[in-house]
Amino acid sequence: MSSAFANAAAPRISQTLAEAQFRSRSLFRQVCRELPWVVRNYQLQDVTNVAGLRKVVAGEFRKNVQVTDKQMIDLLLFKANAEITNLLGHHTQRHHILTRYVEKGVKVAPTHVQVAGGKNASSFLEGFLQGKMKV
Amino acid sequence: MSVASMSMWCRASCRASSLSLLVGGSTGPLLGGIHNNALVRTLSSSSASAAATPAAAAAVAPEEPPPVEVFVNGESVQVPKGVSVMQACDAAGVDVPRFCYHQRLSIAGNCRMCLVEVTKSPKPVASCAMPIMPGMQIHTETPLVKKAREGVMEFLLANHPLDCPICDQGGECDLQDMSMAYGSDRGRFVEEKRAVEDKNLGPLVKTVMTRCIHCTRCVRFATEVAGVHDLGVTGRGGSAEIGTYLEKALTSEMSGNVIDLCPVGALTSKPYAFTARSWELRPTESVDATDGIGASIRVDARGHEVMRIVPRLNESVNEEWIGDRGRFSYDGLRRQRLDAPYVRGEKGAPLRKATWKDALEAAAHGLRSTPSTKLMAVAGKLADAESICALKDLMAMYDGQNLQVEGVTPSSDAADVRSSYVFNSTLERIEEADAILLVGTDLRKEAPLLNSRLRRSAVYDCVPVASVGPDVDLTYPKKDLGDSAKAIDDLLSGASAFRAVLDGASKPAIIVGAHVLSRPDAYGVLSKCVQLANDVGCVSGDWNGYNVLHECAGRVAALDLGFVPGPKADVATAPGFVYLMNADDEATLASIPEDAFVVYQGHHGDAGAARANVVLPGAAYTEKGATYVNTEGRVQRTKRAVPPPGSAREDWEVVRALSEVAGLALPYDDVDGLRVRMAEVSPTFASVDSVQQSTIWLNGSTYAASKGSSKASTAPFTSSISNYFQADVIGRSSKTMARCVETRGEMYAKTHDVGSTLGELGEPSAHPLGD
Repeated sequence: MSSAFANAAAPRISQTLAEAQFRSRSLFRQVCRELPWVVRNYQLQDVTNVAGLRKVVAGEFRKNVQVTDKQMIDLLLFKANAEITNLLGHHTQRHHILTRYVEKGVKVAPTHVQVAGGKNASSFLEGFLQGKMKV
Repeated sequence: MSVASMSMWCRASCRASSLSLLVGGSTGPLLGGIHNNALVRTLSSSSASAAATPAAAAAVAPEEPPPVEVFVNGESVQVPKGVSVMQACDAAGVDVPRFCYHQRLSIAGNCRMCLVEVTKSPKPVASCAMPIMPGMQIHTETPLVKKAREGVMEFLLANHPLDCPICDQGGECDLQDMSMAYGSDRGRFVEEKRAVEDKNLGPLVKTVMTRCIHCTRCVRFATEVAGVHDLGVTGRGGSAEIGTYLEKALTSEMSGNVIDLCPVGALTSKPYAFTARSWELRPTESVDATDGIGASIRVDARGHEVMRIVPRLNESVNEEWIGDRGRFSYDGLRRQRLDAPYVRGEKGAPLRKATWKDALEAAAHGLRSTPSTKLMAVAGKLADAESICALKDLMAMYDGQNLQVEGVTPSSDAADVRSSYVFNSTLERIEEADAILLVGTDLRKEAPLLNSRLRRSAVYDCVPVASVGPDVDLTYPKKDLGDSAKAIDDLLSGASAFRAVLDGASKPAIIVGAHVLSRPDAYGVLSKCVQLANDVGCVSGDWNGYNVLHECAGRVAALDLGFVPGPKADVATAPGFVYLMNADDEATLASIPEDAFVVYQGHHGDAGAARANVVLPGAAYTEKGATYVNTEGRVQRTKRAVPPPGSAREDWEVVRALSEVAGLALPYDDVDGLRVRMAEVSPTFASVDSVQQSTIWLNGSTYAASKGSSKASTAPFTSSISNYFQADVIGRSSKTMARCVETRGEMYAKTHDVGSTLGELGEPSAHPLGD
């Protein structure tokens, strides 16, 4: 699983900015390819889905869209590589993913509910449909 | 001394020791220590029940001789005459290590771990088997005792394998603990260790017989409590072995208890083997909902998974045992689960996964578009009180009066008088009965824990037991009076010889099985039973010996909440909308017409879900804090040990959400509000963990006004459970239970094909926990 990222430990130095940007795009694609595995193995079906996670990951990449220093991009790539390697090796746990990538992600359940008679749904019903657990 | 007489001695001494607690507690030091805790609870609860029944206490009190003074480690303690040295030490709060002694079994005295020194005795004595003498000086901490314990430990460990790291008992092993506390720091044995061939005791109990220390607790449990003579000791000395004489599986429904009794890792749980270590588990104290007894259990979970279920001590319900279904069917909680709502598009189409919103709207549409006369709701065997109450209120909002309880012939008479449908004498006090009549029940399958109480009465107190119903082996002698209502007629008229026995008894008891409630002629048979109970004096003073035994957890709550057809209901009308709350019985489903719109709420994809148009996934009893009422009317609450799978929800929430989507929201948003409502409907729900005694007894005329009360057919009585292991959806989804059925095929014919409903749910859904 983590073979695609096996060489992460050996830092690569991008020769040009274009190479650095190419590397970051290919890393994004590699991460996207692993997301179904992540959802399945970290049992994230009931909190998010592949599309939701992809959106969050893309957001993480876009955060650094203004970076043009190729050495800085290499550093960020190195850190991202380390993160995904940890994740695929199960060194992170489910709650790590939940706090880092899911809570700011998409909502799975639709919030708008039509109640007979045109009334608004109560807070109970909204919570019920969103699966908010009451303890 | 024979086994029977030893057991009687044991019982007598147990009763005596309840007084030792009272005396020792007031004069001597406080009780303490690991082993005493269980004993303390045992004794305090039994003394509490004695206090609750002043007549019984008064009858016993004069027989007790004055207490005797003995000295434990120099401190004076008063104990009743005839108790053992070990019980005196327990009363003094001094911990004595033991392997073979168990307070509910006869005394074997063969492990020698409980050796103590007694002044003037030349050798150390086995304290569990030695009765006290007045003025006895007992010493438990002398060098002699220390050396004796070290010696015993050394002998036990000489042949015990050092495989604790791979032993399932590791971490909760008496031998481990005691070798740390009392063992020597070195051994002198250099010979090869003994090895013993493992026995196959069936799919539930795993054996590693090399670990066995021959305490014989399992043998005594099987013989005395379970009443099956499957286990025994063969060989002597170094070649002694515990085993079934011929290679065969244990034939008891309580066989799992030998796992708890085994002080070492010789008998462990086969389904639990190598799945978890005891210190990884998160315990939750809960209540068993797989039968009508409602045993106290501890659910051990790791993450989102129930790893095992073990009993908790509860003197008034399950003592410290549970049945095999309650203990081992937990793997059924992981298979065949409904983890998402399903909706069937049109007639004949497969069920498709849907969102909660779509499923609730589909169900609400079905509810709203059906006239109130054609609404029907069924409370199933695993339904909890909260969801039943919410469903009753929901149906009331739409004026649907056809409410039915699964396994009860629909009639408003079913819930008229509480004493007509609960186990009035209570499980604990049934042992006071001095003549017992069983009607239409096979206790061994319906309530093995109750059966072991009756066995104790029948075998050790020689209480006469007779049965009108299936001729089955209950593990104790019983008289068969026939299998139809004619036998009850004979008892009523006096033609049967057992009538004289019942008449002569001071506390006669009648136990009516749940099968009777489900018969078409239920109220005819029940009115006869009530009449007989009245004629033979089952109800007098504080004794009510008329008992109805329910085989499932959901029914008493439904009857308490009045989940029966209302005054305007016509049960003969074909329903157009049916709400099945955990109802999976074939009889229930067969009564639903083809074109009815069926909403099924439950936790397993079984027969009910296969028939449904809308499936709403609920939570199983380990996944919700829900109220269940056991057969004696004891209101008990489960606790959530693990979350429900996928998008399943707690059951009452589903009904509450449906009510709002349908347009008329139920007036409670949290479970506390709902519980207030439950207590309004039936005050019995106001107090948890206690039995509200029903004081109304209409002198045998409970069903006098009932339609068809005089008719009773000659159809034979059977048991309400034909297959103990697969009596509910959890058992039917459990691999372990299927293995049990396979192993004991000749006793339990396979009646239900687990796989038959699999294909009905459209695309199979992968459970997030996998299997």
